[in-house]
Amino acid sequence: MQHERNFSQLVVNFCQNITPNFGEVKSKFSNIMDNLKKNREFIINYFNAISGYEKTRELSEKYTNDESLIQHIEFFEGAFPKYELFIEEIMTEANKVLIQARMSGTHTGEFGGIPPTGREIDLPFAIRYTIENEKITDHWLIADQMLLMEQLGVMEPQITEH
Amino acid sequence: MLGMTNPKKNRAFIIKYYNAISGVEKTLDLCRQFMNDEKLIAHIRFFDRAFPKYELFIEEMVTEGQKVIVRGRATGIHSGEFNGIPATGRKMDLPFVIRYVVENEMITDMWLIADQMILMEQLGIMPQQTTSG
Repeated sequence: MQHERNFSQLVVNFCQNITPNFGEVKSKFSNIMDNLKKNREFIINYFNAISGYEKTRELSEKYTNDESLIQHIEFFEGAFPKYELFIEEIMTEANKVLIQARMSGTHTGEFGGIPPTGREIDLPFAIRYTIENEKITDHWLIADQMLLMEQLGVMEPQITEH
Repeated sequence: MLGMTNPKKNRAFIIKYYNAISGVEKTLDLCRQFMNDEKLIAHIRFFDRAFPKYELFIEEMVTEGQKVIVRGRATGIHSGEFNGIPATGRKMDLPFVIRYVVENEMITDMWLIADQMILMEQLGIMPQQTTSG
């Protein structure tokens, strides 16, 4: 440990010698790290706030001004009221947060022309958010609708080994 | 900080990998130059039989540590059997998201999400859906 500390100090000294404004560079770097952490925490808070609850427009608007995301949530909330969300993986870079997660719920409302089946769904998806000033301003989402149709019993299970 | 995995390097590696496999026959030898994840190799070989020399287009990347996320599209012509569906000659243009773990310039793990419904529509197996969600 002592060696490591000595070595780190050497690196710091070296950097200070070659870059007089090393302190500034360092603080810029920690700002970036803080920001990544902040965005990550913001998204975790957001998932905790909506998972298992009624997702009203008012609730969505606390976290996002991305109209297509708000409509997507309303659409799914209508079909799978109070659906739950489970985060499996998070990645952050710059002002982007990428989540791989599962949504689970019961099909008790009409969904894209399919009347309620009462079936449980558990659907993996990946979503990327762009965050600006503690608001989601943009997103894309990808999920396998085929899996959803199978879970709703609308479609025969496919042999999908890949 | 020293010895930390370099997201920039991993990003460059994945771009190199896409350039190497897009539009060519994805042989076992070629795959093994970039990965040791058997699941991924099987997946690529499976798709290359159904959509020979399929092309790949990167639309967005997110990197963190050893992980690289790619949102991209796969395009190709359905000229080989696919999951029991005989060749239709139709064009696939399929969006997907894939997450790689990169270690020492090798892909060691991945997950992949794509919408099979879109693919079935493109192959003409399923009627076009209205998906407003």
